[in-house]
Amino acid sequence: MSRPDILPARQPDPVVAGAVIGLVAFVFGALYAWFVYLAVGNLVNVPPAYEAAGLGDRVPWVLLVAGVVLPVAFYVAGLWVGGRTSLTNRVLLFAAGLAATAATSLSLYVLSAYLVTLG
Amino acid sequence: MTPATPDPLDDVDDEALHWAGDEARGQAAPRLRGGTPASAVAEEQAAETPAARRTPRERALLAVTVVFGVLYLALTLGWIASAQLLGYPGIDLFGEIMWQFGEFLSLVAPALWFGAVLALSPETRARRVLVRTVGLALGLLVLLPWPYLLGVLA
Repeated sequence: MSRPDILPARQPDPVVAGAVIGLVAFVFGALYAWFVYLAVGNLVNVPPAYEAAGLGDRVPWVLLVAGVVLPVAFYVAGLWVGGRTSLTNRVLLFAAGLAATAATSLSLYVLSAYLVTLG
Repeated sequence: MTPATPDPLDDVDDEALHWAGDEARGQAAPRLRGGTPASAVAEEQAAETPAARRTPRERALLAVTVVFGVLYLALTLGWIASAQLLGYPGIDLFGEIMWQFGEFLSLVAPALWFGAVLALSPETRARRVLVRTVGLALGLLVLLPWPYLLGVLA
């Protein structure tokens, strides 16, 4: 019996492939959720703190809401765009979105602190 | 006068310089020391030809990639400077760890965004230049290093 020169490419098991994709989405989802948790905490706790300090008219509502919306938007965008690409690209997209979430959360934190100091 | 028939010893030498399957790998010529294999010459020609014949669209894509590459490098430097200016406002260990993780993520964010946009605009992609330009421009706006910019303004 002769050995074939080129072996046929192995097709991944659809169940295993789906489980890996689901695991990646879950792990990144947990990391995104941390930033959402922080942002929701700010949205709940910052306004009363501003009121108590006599700065009730300077609550940065736009920044507080953006802090909650942006991580969700990045995650959904990663799911949506990554749905048509390879697993490697999905991981890269989720990682880029998570890094952008972290960067924007730092920016929003600094911007809100800066706005308080203005006149 | 030279003999019309080749020396049988030459054929034996050529046989000795061949491995089974050489033809299948494009290495039909004997691999003589000091000589350039035909496959290597073909590879050199193939490597030179696309650069000399770049279409205007390819040149635009290259220009967009290089310009944004420099800008994203500046973003990375801005986030490195931002991380120097920021400190964790709390006192708990877990929060401190996650803060450091967030700072690390913000440092690598420009590189990851750049890589993701390049991965999503391969050669087979329709409207490749537009997709890459819009993706990189969007990332530039999202990833502005506000901690550093406001620190400079203040």
